Amino acid sequence: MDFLSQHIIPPTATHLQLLEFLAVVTYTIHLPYIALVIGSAAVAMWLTFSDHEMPNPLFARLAGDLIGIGLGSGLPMLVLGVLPMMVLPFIYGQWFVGAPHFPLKYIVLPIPGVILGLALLGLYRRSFRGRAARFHLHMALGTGGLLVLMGSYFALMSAIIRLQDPEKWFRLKNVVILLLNWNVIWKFLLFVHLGFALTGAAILFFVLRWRGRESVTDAEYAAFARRFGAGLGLAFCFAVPVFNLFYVFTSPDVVFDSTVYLLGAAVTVLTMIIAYAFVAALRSGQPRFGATTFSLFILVFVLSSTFDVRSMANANREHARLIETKAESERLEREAEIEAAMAASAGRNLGEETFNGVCMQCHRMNDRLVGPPLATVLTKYANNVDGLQNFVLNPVKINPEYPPMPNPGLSSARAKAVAEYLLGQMAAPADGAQPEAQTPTPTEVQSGQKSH
Amino acid sequence: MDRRDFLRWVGVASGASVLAGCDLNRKSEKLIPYLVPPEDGLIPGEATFVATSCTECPANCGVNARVRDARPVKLEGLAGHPVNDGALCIRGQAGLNHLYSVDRIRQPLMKDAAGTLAPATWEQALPRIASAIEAGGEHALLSGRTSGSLAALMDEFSARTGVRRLPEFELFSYAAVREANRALFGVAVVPSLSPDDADLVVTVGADVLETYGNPVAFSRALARRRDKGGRFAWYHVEPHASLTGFKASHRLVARPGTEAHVLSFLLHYVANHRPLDARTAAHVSRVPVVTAERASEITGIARESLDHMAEALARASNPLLVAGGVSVAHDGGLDVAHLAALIQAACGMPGRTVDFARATDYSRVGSMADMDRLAQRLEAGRVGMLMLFRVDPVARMSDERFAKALGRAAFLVGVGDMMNATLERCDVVLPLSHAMESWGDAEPVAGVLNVVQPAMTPLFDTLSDGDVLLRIMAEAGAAPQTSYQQYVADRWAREYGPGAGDLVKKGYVDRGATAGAPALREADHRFGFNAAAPAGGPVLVVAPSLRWYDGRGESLELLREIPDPLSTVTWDAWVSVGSETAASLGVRDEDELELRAGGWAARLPVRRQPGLARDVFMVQRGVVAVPAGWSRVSGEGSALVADLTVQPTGRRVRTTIVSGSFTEDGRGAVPGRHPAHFGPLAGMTHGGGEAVHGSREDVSFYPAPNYPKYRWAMAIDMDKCTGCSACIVACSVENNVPMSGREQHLRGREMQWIRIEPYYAPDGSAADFVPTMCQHCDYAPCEPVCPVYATYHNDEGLNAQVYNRCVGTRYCGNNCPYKQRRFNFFDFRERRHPLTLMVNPDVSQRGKGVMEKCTFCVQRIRKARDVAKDEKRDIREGDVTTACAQSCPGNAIVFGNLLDENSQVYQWAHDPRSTRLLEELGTSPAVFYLKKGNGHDA
Amino acid sequence: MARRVISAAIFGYFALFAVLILLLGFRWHTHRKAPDQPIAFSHEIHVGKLNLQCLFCHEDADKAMTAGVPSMKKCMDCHVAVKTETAGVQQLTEYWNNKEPVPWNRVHRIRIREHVHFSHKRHVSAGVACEQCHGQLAAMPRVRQVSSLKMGWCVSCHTENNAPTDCLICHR
Repeated sequence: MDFLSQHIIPPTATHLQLLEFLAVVTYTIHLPYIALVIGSAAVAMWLTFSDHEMPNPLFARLAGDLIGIGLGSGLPMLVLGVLPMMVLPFIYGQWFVGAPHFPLKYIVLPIPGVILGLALLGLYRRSFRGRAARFHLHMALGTGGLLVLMGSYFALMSAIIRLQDPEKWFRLKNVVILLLNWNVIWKFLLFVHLGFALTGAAILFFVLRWRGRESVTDAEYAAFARRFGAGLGLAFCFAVPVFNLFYVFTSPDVVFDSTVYLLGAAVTVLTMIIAYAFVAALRSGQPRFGATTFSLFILVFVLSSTFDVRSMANANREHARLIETKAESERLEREAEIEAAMAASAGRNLGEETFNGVCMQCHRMNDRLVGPPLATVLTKYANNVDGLQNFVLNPVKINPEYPPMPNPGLSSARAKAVAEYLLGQMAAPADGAQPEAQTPTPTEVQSGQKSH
Repeated sequence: MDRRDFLRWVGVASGASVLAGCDLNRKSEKLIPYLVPPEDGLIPGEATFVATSCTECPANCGVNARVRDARPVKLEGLAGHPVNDGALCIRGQAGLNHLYSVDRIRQPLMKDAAGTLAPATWEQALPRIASAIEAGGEHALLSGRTSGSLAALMDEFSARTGVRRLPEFELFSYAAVREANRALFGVAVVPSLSPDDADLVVTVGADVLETYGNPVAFSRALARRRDKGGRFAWYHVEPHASLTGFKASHRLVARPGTEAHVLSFLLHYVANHRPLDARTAAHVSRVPVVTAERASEITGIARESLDHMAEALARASNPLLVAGGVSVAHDGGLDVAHLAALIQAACGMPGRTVDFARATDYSRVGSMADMDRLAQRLEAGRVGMLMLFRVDPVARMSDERFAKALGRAAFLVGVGDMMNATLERCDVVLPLSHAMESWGDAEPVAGVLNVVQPAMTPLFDTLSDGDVLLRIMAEAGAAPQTSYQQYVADRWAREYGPGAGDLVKKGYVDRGATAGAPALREADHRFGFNAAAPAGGPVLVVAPSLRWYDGRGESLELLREIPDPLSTVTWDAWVSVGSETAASLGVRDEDELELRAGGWAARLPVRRQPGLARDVFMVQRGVVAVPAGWSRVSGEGSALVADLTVQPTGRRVRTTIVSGSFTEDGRGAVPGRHPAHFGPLAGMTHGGGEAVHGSREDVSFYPAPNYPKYRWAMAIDMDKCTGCSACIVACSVENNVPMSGREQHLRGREMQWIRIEPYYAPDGSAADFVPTMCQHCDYAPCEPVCPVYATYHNDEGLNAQVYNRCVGTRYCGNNCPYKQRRFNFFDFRERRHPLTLMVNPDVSQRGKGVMEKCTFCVQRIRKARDVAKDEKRDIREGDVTTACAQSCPGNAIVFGNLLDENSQVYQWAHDPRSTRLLEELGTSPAVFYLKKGNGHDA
Repeated sequence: MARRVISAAIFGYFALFAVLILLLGFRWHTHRKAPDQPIAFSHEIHVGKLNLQCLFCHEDADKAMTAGVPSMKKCMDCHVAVKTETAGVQQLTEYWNNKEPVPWNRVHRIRIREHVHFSHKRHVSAGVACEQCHGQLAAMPRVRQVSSLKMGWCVSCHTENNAPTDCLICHR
């Protein structure tokens, strides 16, 4: 991970929000597609198998359509399936820059597996036409592809879900520990069942609406497809809230805030609406509700992936704040340099300002406040500006009688300026009492703080 | 899916249980910071120690109080203290219960119009006393034994306020002993006993292991004596049955009141066999001669036992003989004391084994005669204000006459820390702070001064003893207002100069003995012992109580929980009856007897007491109120109640008798006595792998445990163990052992982690007191049967018990052959304030349904490890010891690492006397017993 | 009729799960959420911005079982002069002047605290960083319980680092 921390400048708060948004979008593209692939492939295989056992043209035709929908041609597979996955490491790489034990490798490793799975299913699709001849090869390709896809995607999902539980990162020594986790398992089951339900919706949507024109002629097929799709969708809809609940319940406390729970509940409610739609679809003789259910399902995926990303952000909010502040400080540093330059050009004494604004809270020249009187302690920095600057930039406890000096959070430029100013004051013995004379009025102090 | 997940799913299955899962009424816990942290570098949660003095009895042992977060949580003997050297007795250990007792008086009380004591303030109470002093009349101050600064302050008090100070009242006033010593040696003191180098000890009635003198010191000295080895014998003569008697090597039972005959016989025998100087001879010549036959006939002691004892005494090079306790507490008592003193002189004991220089100061203590005079003056109405200061004569004497006479005083002021029969009679009651809350000092023996310093701020609106007096003086205008702390500080500065500062750190100062051994003086004492033969018939012996001395501690529930070692009775009152007597009366344990003597009567359940003579009945002080008659001769309160009539009532009274049986029935429950069917074991090895006499590995199915670094073990020397039960209380306080109460005890649910079982010889002549705690066996039978792994064996040999894992199946308890596991049938944690404060925070308190047992004070081991780790080393010998071993007055218990060949426990475990309980079971315990009879008990 | 029943059944089914989730949310809200504090003390400022060492305030963490809540005096050492104009410090000063301690709310809740004898000292001296259990306090405006503090969590770390796993280490 260190190489990441070297090569990535810490993102700002807005940047992080952007990354989270990006993650949600990516999932919204990617998850439904993979879900559909898994669902349709599985269903198609079941259909072809039953058709092979006991020939049934309807089954065969629906299987063909499903393969057409789910696995489509190579292009969607690349755009929806592969590319979004590639984006993930970059998103999280930036989000978790510098986080200890950050398990990025587990996100990267499964990706080839997923691609391989998709490829195999591609072959499966091609071999569909000639399946009569080489039925076993066909089925083998299907099952093989499906298993590889699901296996590696389970791994990928585990890695991503585990981002929500940083407490356990240091334990992720091997894949077994990574995968054996109820939270992850429920999440994956939820995902798969959504996939099958989505497939049902897809049948209603694609088979009956898009190709509707020509398929209207075949009323029998239409009715069969509608019943099959709606039934499939409805059946798996019922599984969704159960796994969703288990998933929420097994999530660690750290991921939650009220929104997350609302999202969790919303997924359930939305699924209910979908279920109603499926019921309606079953009842009405018309091939309707395809678009509704399908789009609602996309919405479900949006919600659940928002759930995940938000959880991830909650669980690591301190990390986020840390890198934000880091970015912030770097920005300040740059601004300060500019300010210093401007101040110099404008002939103001940045050092004096800073002293009055910041240091004066605890220090006086000649008497003790919170910190020691500077006149006594500065002597050891006589004409050692850098030494004093370093001390001001990161103070350490020296005199046990006083509380340790907190880091005033000055830019190096300001620190240098104030160091020069103070040593200048020391150097001028005549002005020993001068700072006393010009003890700042509260307004000055205020302004000083503002400027800092 | 493990147990937790399963439960989790059950929770999910129903919304109701999810709701139940979140107990909404739980308040959010608070974290309260210090305002200003304690300046003396006090670290929260770390214990500090305060060296102070025990005030539970006049012995005044040195105490080291462990303080956690400004509360004393455990009392330990002050190591190196000249009197008790680190040990503490059962009563001292229970001092904490006294401090946190629910019966503490919490603010001043005053009699209201209705005549009942009502709460008041100091500002109300003190003026009332001052005015009572103003009112005139013969004011008097009666206190318990005082010493050191308090005694001085009291003199000052009476001098300034004109309140006459009466002789102090102690029921055990040692009047006879002091009188005898005054007459013969000219010093009316109670000498301390040092058997360190004695080769013979003869104790006549003096229960030196229970209450006589300083039992802790005596036990310690005895232990030192035994360590030296060589010839040593101990004869004990007594009319009743006492722990001391059974621990002596020879116990001779004399008829009550006949001890003088024994001593007279001894004296003459010694006189005939030892060279005597003229003066002693003159004394001896005045003592009526008693022949062996006569003595045997009168006392009922076998002739040959008498001869043996006499011969041993005559032969002994450095003997110790002392008479006291019940043997001097009757009309013939002064004779006994005189004879004893004469024998001491004849054998040259003073200065060697009887230390007059280290005497305990009883000079201010009066006798029952003084109490009688007080009663008369009260009846004559000549007493104005009577102040009763930390003394309870009404209960101690339980004498109607005195109680009635008390009412005749014009004004009664009671000063005490706990409510008692006397204070209830008073017009004004002033509450005293416990020693743990006060400044002061105490003088156990001449030359030694204990500091009494507070370990905590007073729990209630109370004042220390001295402050009460000072406040009264100030109120009466007799002295300027000052604090007792200042008073003692000034006095120490006067007495000890600059050394006073270090006094407070060290806790005591020892200026060494001053006086030498006194010489015998002329005296003419008329011996009346052989004038009249002692009356026959049933006799009631009122013995001192090991647990509550003269009865003062009898209201402390902690002591009530502890079994009396002889009878194993815990909460209840009982009368001890000899086996023969019981047979002749046809009564068994728990049968009720009615005892009558004069106007007094009591109904008590029977507890058979092996070794108790025929027609001798025994009750303990404080267990039942027996009118204390007293000897007109010596003024000593009488321990014998003659012409007693005994009548079984036929009722049975359920009594809290803990022990099931008097005998071990040849089961090998006594160390070194192997059951007949099982020969002695040899050549077997214990779990650690090295050969220790008498364990066996071969019987175990389990692999030999291996202990990488430590194998914690304990060894107990049965010669040194006196059965004094101090360990039990130490353990109970250290480990928050629950107090289950009388009802539970009746069901056999006592909770102490240490059990001292008395096993008597069939004829009652001898007894073994076997202290048993969890034996931490290598092959612990309790471990395999636990269904939830709440008990297991760790790699330091500890048989661990994880309370929050235990589900209370009690299989382990059933499977323990040593009966060492205790089950919390109820939640015993709930106590009334302030007893709730008597908690050691290092040990978790066990809740309902949890099994518990001895842990070898694992919290102390953890602490030692903590220290050792800080110093980057292992735990060394001496770093850690258990509460019981630390407190043991007899040095009978050692604890340590068995794998460390230099550790004392290793030495003891490999001693030829070493044995273990029920070895034939192959449990291979970690507790080794050094069986009795190391040869030098002749 | 049948329609009604069916749709009612579906509604009931889904509603049940929705409600259960919301119940979980309620439980979290009442028990698991980081509690409000009487004074909005920010570790982010003191540790993050001013990078004070943990041990400066929690000075017993390497000496005793408990890390210890810093004493009021500790706060006032600095705040007698520093940032006196902020509301929080004024609250603090008020407590201080009334000689009252601030009643902080406990953040770390352990079910069976009385059965666990945990020593901060041992863990600190073993070199366990505070963040490892308490999270990045440098970025916590309001402290929350980062670690579950369940026994499984303790044990997993002990096994990872070959620390003793004997029950008696914590339970006695």
